[in-house]
Amino acid sequence: MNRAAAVAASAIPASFLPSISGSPCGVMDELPPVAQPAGWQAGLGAGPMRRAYRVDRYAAPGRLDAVEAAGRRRRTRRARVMPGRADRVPAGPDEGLEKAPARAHIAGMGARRPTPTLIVKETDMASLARYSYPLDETFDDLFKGFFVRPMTFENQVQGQFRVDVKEDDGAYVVQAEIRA
Amino acid sequence: MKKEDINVTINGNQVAISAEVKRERQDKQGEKVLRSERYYGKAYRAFSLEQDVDEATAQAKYNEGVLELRLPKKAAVTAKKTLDQ
Repeated sequence: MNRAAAVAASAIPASFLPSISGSPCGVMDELPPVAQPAGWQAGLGAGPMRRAYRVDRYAAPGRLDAVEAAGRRRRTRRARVMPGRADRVPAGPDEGLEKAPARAHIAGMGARRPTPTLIVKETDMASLARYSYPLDETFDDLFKGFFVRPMTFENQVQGQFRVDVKEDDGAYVVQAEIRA
Repeated sequence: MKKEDINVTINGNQVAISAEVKRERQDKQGEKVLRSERYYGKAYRAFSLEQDVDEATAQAKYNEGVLELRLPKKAAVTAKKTLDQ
């Protein structure tokens, strides 16, 4: 691929970049997912899903800018958190991210083969978060066990039974329903 | 429930009826136990009558889940007081 084709490839919207991994143009090759950074805690769903891409030697400068800008946008979007959840997000939007020196090898492009560079990106799955309504826990505790009754079986003796008492002149007649 | 599981206690004008059930069931298929179940139940009820009951002549019958007690009343003892002038 020549430089003009690489520049033309950079016109693809940045949101499509993860889907063109392994594309015939050879711009990006998908690598296995990298390990979870240590700045993210459990409770935010699956956590940030990151993928690493190796930028080939023919990657155009504009394309690299697009890749970097897409990563920056996603990191910025993750910085928006729900009220009361500030303790569950990292301290900064760039915490735990390996930022690639995207422009480091551009100056030498065409002159020598650059060292493959890792650019860490996040996909939209990273924005999944568990939503918890504050009153849910309150009502869960309030009605917990309220409708629970001891398990009984039909036609078996329970704690009480029905008693009918009649009286005549000389005696009491008691009838009690005791079923097995 | 069997009538041997029912106990009736009479003390003056107080009558107490209690019943206790212990049951064990086990379903087997050859030597293999499919289900093993144990049940324990106890029922108790006591009440007071207006007059004392003669426990010596009391009768009890248990038929089709209904316990019937016939509790004769004790004759009321009236105290006679004689005043000697």
